[in-house]
Amino acid sequence: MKKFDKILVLALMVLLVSCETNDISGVLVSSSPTPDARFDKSMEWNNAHEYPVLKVPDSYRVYVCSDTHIQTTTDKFSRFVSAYKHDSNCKFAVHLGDLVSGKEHHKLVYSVMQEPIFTIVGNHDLHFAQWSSFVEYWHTSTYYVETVSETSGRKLDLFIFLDSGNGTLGSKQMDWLRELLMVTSGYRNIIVCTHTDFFQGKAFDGNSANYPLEETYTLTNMFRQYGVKLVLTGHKHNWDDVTFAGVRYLTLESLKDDADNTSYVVVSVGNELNFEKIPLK
Amino acid sequence: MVCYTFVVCMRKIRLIILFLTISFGGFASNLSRGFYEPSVSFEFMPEYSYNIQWKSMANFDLKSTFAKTPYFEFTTALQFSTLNVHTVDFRLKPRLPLPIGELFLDFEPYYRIDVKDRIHDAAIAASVGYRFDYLSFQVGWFGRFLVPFDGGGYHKELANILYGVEVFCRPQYSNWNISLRMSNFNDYQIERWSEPLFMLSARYDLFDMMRLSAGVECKPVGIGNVQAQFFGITARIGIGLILE
Repeated sequence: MKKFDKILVLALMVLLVSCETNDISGVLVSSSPTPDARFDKSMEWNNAHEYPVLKVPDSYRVYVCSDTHIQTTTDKFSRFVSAYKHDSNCKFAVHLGDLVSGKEHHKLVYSVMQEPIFTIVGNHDLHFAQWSSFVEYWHTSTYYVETVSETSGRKLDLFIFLDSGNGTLGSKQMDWLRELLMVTSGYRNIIVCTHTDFFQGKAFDGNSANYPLEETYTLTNMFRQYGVKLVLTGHKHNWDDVTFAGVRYLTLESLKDDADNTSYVVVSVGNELNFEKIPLK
Repeated sequence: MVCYTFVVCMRKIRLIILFLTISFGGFASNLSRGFYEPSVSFEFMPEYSYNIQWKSMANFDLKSTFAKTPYFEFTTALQFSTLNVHTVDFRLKPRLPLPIGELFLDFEPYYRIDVKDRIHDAAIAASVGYRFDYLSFQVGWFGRFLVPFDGGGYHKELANILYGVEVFCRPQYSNWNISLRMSNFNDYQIERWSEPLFMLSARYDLFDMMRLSAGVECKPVGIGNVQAQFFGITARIGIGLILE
């Protein structure tokens, strides 16, 4: 009986700790607005402010990280920020979402970040109705960034940032993406950045969810059809590198302070795309 | 003489229906009433389906079950969709009747072609289940291959979990029943573990040989993200012919 009591107390403690960082009610219904409502909010900001256009050399680097899940410490994320700030050939950084775990930590992440960095929302950024907090600091989670040559002025690359915090783009964002890809032409690289990953890995990805199959079919075909070269995702905290229908899908490890396998990626952007995985111990 | 001709005709019709049933494949796992009754059945189900990405579509389902002994069941299911997404699914189900309920194994080769998105989706599932009067549950494994029409690399997912729990409001031998089911698969899709399907189903045996059925299936998204949202809904009605 004593043994049973101990197990019960342990189980309750695990549940309580879990409730601190995970919005358990979200299993039934999301505590943040729907993907369509969030898309509207993102477009409000986009319509009032122009999409960023960055002047860059013909070859440059982009630093990408994901899933920092910051609560109180920012050790690994600070090292990531320091790395891209000290690389003169890095023109911007990307955070693929799940900036925080738990409540009220967006302010801390924002205080550590240094421009230029582009951010999107992850599912943990939506827990505890935190979409409003995300928007307060980063304003939008659906947008694109163009790079143009600083010498010739010709357009180079297109980076598309998508909100997949619910494991779906929602209807409106999907239409926006389709229209954007249909009218884009002349970019040497199209790169998509989003939080939720597309494929289950070789081992069972017990801690993460993907898109519904219908959406997986449609998105992977759309990326193929419109010449997307690279899709950067996070979410499952396990490294994955898949080439599917001619498109490269990279899934990044997390950058959590208390995790073992942590890394970020440096993408070298030029006429070819190359990347290097940088482990952080 | 007339009577003899009638009997022969009936036998021929029955043979043709049996042949069609086996040809169409498909099986309705819960179509047989009771646990051990041998049955051969055929079911046609039109569906209306909606999801936030593909919008509205109509599906036409054909299902047949061939269970000549209490120990084995073979089902085939075909689905044709107005969106040019088509599915074929086979299930081989060895069954072991027990003093209470039955233990079963379920082997399921599955293939779906999404012509509009130019992708093949093939899966093989193996699971074990136990079926009581008021409860049925099933757990197993499946592997999936996603292959694009145009090459450029395919993907295999070899470690996926299959699960299903179904609660019935009446015993299996009743001439009508209502059930509630949560699982990540049905006859026409095998989803990842994180995308469960919630199904409310009903059947009514109008005659010994005829069954009416109806069902509503809800597919949320984001449960695995702990950020659940509505994704899609399917409503179906069906008419089934039980030959034995």
